[in-house]
Amino acid sequence: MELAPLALSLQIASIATLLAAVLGIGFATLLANVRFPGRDLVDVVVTAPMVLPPTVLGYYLLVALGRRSGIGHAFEAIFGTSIVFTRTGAVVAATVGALPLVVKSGRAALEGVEPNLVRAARTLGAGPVRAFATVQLPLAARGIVAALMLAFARSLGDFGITLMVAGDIPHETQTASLAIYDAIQEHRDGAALGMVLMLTAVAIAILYGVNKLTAARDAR
Amino acid sequence: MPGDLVVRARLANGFVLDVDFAVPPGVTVLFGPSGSGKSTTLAIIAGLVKPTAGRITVGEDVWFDSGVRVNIPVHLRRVAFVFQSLALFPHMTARENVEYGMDRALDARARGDRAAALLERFRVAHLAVRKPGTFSGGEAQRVALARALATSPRVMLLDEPFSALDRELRTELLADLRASLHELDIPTLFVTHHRQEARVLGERVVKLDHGKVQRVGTVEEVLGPARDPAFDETPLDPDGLLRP
Repeated sequence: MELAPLALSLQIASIATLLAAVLGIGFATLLANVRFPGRDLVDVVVTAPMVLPPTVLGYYLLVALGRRSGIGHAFEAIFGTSIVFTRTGAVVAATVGALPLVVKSGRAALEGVEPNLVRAARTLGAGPVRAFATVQLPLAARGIVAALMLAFARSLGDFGITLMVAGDIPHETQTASLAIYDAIQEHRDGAALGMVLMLTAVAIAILYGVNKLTAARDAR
Repeated sequence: MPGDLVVRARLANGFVLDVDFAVPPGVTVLFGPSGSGKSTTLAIIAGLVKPTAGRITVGEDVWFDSGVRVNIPVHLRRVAFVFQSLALFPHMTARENVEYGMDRALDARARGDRAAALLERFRVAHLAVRKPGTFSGGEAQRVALARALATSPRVMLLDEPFSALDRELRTELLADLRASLHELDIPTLFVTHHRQEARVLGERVVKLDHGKVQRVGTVEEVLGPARDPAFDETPLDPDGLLRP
């Protein structure tokens, strides 16, 4: 069995989930708690990766982060390596794919907290940040953790966006999903089957965990 | 030295409200039918709802003044608010709930002692390390009152806190609450549509209807002389079945 693509997938998915957690919980909080002009637009833009074809998303990312773009240029000047067609690009691809899951589920979890509990915290002298950190966030925690687990599964399985933005470079950006495709093309069926079973096992384990978490929340 | 709470507020968006009344230290009952604006009035005083125009003061302090654009945020007003739903934090023990609103300059030990004393006063000391999910209606009520009083409030607001309780429990709690409020001696607004509750607790009554103050006076003046308590209470929907 080929372990290198699996290890790379796990590494990329872990970093991507971390990034999606920070960005996603930030957006979820903003959308759930703050009324501001353009809120609906932000919601649409952040969740668009859920419905756009991966190639379309990949195209946008290539344009935005490519070596000739402002961001790509600045990144290369600072870190000496480009974003696209590197491991960084694979992380960006996986993060963008996972972000909508965190924002959507995170927002629902935050909005599901009884509003009077947050109001009670405010009347008890808590500023908006303390009320969020000590009441709203802990009570939404199960939902948010479930969202992060789904985000991890999504990152682990990304194919299209990764291929567009990071290519299919062995040991650099060739994640398990890409390696499975290559193995099938090259008639290495055994190698493909090994990775297929591994990814399936991880995905099922995660779904089982998410169901456990959300069932416990409903029972409360 | 506690000062009067003076409320003049107008709300024009959505619910229409236009109220103007003063609450001296002691218990004033805010009385009126459902939808008369009682809860909205409390939310405006607490700072949870911003009025379109008006002025809210407590003693010398201005909490809201649309004329000079003053609007002190909720958490700096020091109001004790007991919600109809109680809003106990389900992930914290009774003691943690009570300690939540205490001055954070106090050390942990002082907070713990004070929480224990408050829970004791409301006869729920045995619940200290338990979470609200396991409390009975009356127990949750008592913890909510202890929590509200833990903040050294300037004003106390109670939004039909006993509506979910049966009559016996309600009478018992009213007696305990009356003693605590008497001791506290701050402007207190108690929302109810139960005449009996109004009579037991209130020194004064502000009667609201359709978002306007209809009458202000003593309990007898506004609600009439006490009649047979059974008559007073029974037809007034003790089980809350008539409320929406």
